[in-house]
Amino acid sequence: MPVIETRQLTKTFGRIRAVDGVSLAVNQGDIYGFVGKNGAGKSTLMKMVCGLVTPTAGEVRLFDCPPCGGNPRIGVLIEEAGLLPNASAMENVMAKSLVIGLSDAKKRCEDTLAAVGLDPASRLATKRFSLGMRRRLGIALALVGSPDALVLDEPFNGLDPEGTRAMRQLIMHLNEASGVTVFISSHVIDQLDRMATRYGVIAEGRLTAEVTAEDVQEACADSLRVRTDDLARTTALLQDRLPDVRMRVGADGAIVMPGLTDSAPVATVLRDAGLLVYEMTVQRRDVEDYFVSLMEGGRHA
Amino acid sequence: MLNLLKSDVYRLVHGKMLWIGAAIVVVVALAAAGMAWWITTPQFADMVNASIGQPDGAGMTVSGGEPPAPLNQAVMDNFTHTVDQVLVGSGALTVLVSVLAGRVALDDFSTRFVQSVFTVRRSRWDYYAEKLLLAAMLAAAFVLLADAAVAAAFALFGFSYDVVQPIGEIALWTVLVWLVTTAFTWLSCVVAWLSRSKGALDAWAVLVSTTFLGSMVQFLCTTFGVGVPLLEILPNFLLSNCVVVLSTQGLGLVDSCPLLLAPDVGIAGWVSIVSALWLVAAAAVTFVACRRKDA
Repeated sequence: MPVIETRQLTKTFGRIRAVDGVSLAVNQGDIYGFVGKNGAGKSTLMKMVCGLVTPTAGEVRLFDCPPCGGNPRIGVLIEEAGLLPNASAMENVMAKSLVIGLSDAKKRCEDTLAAVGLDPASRLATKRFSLGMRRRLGIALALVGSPDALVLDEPFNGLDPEGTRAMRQLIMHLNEASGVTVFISSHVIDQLDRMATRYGVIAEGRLTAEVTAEDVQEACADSLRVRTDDLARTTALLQDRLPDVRMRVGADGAIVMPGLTDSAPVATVLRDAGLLVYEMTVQRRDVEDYFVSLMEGGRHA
Repeated sequence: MLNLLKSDVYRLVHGKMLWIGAAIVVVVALAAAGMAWWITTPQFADMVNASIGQPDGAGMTVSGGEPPAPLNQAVMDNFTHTVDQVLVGSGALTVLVSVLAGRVALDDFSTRFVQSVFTVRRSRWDYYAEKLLLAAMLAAAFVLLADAAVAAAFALFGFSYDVVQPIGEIALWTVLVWLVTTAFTWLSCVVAWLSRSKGALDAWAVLVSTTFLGSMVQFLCTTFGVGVPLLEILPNFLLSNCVVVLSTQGLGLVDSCPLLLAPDVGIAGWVSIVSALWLVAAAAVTFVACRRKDA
């Protein structure tokens, strides 16, 4: 069952189509990485999912139902955390817990703050918090009410490496230990790559690709790249002599063999056949490059 | 909606704005009572006599080196008129509550806390209805506080009242002040929601909630609107006019009043009608325009 689903979701601001007919589904237990350039429509789509922005057309469904009334099962951190600057961390989470109407709110708020590493007893106003503390409190606010799903928009923005790691570990812990489904956008592809199970790529308001973590792994795996003076003969030879090796032909006429890093068997086949080898290199494709190519429209470019 | 109300009350009680506003009301009441007391003292009479150039022992003062007699007695006209002079007629109460309620309305959006609200409570009807209810509650609390603070402050300084009003009349006047104040606060909330700007809200409070703009419109209408039916009756429908009417008439709220557009409804009736019109207008804009704005 999709926890979050959008159907032909569209939002226009005047003549600008910020989100254009996006249909995606985030399934139970997913960490769904949402990738796109600045202004691609990520935040607008997430705001529509959370009920902060009204769609021009299309539909949002949460837990297989239209979002009506309210849904404490979704926790949200969109862009900057919505904190009350003059209130303490505890007062912030208490204010939200009262909105939800939680019973035993004080105890649960204390637990939530402890879970993100903040001191429930601190009287420090949040306007004096460091960026990392604000992000943690933002996550705590999202976690009030023990939601089944989190919508996180750029949660790593502005964090130092230690804070980034702590945030990533917290998200993964919530996903693994509590089964929280996560819909997360980030420019930090490297962080998404370490935790996402599925990805959606958005460009100019349109969903240009949906890939799994396995797809990314495969596309970005080490591969052997070979270019000779006779492409057809080389392809036939390699398919015949090395039947277990997967291969594809690139746009520049090179044969790419994903997952193969040992060049010796290939070199032997080509030498025995007397083929002239122009290029034989082991290459690793950068994950960022891969996603950039997806943003530009190629599904498996 | 009750949960939203609980959350807002929690935030207000744990914040500073509410207490600063309440402190201002108390300080203004005490300052007014203190000043009123000062002009009843022999020292004040002495100072006045000295300032108008009369020698000691002349005029109101007692000769022979004794302290001068007070120029004024520690007696006010009536209770509602006193509250009015201290906090209502000047627009101090309306501007204070308008700014407070407007800031509460604006804070959710300026701090983005509204994210936490709209995610779990998607009904914008509930959200805006609760905020209007909260504004009305704030207005009620501050009007009652104004009554209590003025009563306590003037009692503290030993004042009595020339006319002791029946409790019903005081209650009716208080309700009317609450209606007018609530109308001002709702309009401030609308300005906050539409503009999402603290500057616009403050400007509105200074120009409108102080009754300054209303007084200007009233002046222009009476000066240049002679013979133009719409401009002649327009001032009657201004909230600032309600404040003026309540200021000048502490007594006889239900009696026929020839100064009004509809004399037979009395001050109470007219103030209720005008306030209700503005309340309905503010609610309509809230639920039609503000509710549809994206967070």
